[in-house]
Amino acid sequence: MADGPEPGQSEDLTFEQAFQRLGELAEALESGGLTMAETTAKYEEGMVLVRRCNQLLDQAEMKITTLRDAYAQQPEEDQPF
Amino acid sequence: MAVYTVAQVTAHLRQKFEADPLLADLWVLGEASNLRISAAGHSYFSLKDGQSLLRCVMFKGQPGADLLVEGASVSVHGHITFYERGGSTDFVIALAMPQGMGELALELERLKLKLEREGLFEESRKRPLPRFPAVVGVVTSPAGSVWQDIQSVIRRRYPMVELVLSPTIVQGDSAAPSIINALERLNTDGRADVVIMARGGGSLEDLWPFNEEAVARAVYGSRIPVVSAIGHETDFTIMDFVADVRAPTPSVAAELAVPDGAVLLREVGELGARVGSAAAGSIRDRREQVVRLTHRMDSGLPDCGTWRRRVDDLARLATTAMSGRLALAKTRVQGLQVQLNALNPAATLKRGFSLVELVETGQVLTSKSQAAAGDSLSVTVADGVVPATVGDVPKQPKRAGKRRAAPQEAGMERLF
Repeated sequence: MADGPEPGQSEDLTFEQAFQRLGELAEALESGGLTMAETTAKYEEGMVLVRRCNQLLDQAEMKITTLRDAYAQQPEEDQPF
Repeated sequence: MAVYTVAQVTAHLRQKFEADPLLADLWVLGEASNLRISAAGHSYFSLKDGQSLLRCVMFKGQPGADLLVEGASVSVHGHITFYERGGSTDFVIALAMPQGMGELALELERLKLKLEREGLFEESRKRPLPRFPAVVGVVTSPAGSVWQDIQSVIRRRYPMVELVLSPTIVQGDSAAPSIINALERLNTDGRADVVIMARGGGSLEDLWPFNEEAVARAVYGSRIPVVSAIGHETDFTIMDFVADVRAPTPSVAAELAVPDGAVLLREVGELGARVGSAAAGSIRDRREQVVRLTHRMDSGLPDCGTWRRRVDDLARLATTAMSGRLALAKTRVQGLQVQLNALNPAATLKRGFSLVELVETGQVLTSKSQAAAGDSLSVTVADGVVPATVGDVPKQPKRAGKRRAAPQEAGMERLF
């Protein structure tokens, strides 16, 4: 199952990637034409992705950084305005 | 004392007027009168106040030309020139505004018009915001409540992002270069997927840095899409027109910059449900296929019932045919029996005939020549044997004998 869920891999997915992949899986399953093995593999992968998305949204902690304020650090007399 | 031609003087006047920086960029407040619109669509009118009058021309298609009605108070912007052919001083107006607007407002309109003509506000160049930004840049003052509002909105909606603050001064003379610098730093950093440029409410003067041409050009040049949110919902700045998206307030800008986690959770749930039901449906389809195949296999088997019936039918047919033939045979046997009965000598005897045998030889007597007088005979009749003896047999010539025999034969014929 090259296409199947790989737990280690899904841990690294961003929300966008997981969300997009989940949408692809839904469409692939709905359009049919898959073998039983593919169907179950995609189903399992989808459930892993649902957990991943929920986990990302529930447990994320917003990170804040500040870019060095180059302008404010200029010496007062150098300011042209 | 030199004498000049008229053309020399008017050309000189024209040069003087056009060289004067004040006359080249002039705002004038006055009342429109003597309005005349030419066949070409240009407006000719006078601008006057209590004491004075300026001859004005406003060419067709200039903004605000529709404000020019007799007696209307208007602020107009343009330049003064000397019209040599008419010998008149003409105020060529590029923009007319209703009276009562301050200097800054008028300047704002002028700059807006200029940048709009340059295409900085073109809708076609505005970029869509990314749906799932990983990094959101913020250009604002770290001190204000705006920064706190943006943080709390994004933390609540979509805490998966990294907020990168690029601090700036948002008010005063040094604000514009500071804002430009802050945006440049985010572009240089390159990580942000979208930039929010925000400031809280204030007077037109307070918001002025965001109306500066240089700020507008910096926003125009940003490689990262910009959401602008300056002041309150009713405040508009030049930057709002250049930004890819204009938000009425900083909080709304934060909402526009990131998706709503609650909605996403629901969408994830829906996608999960689709995956589940599609997989279940696929399994159900397979099961139905198996059932259908089973039916097809069943129908492919030989039909024993029909064969059994056919065998039955044939058996019945054979029986019928056989019994018919038996009946026929029986009938024929009976016919033969009748025939046989007819030939049975016993039956002949019953009809009165008898069998005569010579006792001595056992010969059946069929000719009179066989018998001689005195021979013992045995006469067999229907119910037994009668012994008899030949009486006197007359010797007769054969011919005569035959003749005599004839009546006997005739008698027998008669008998039958």
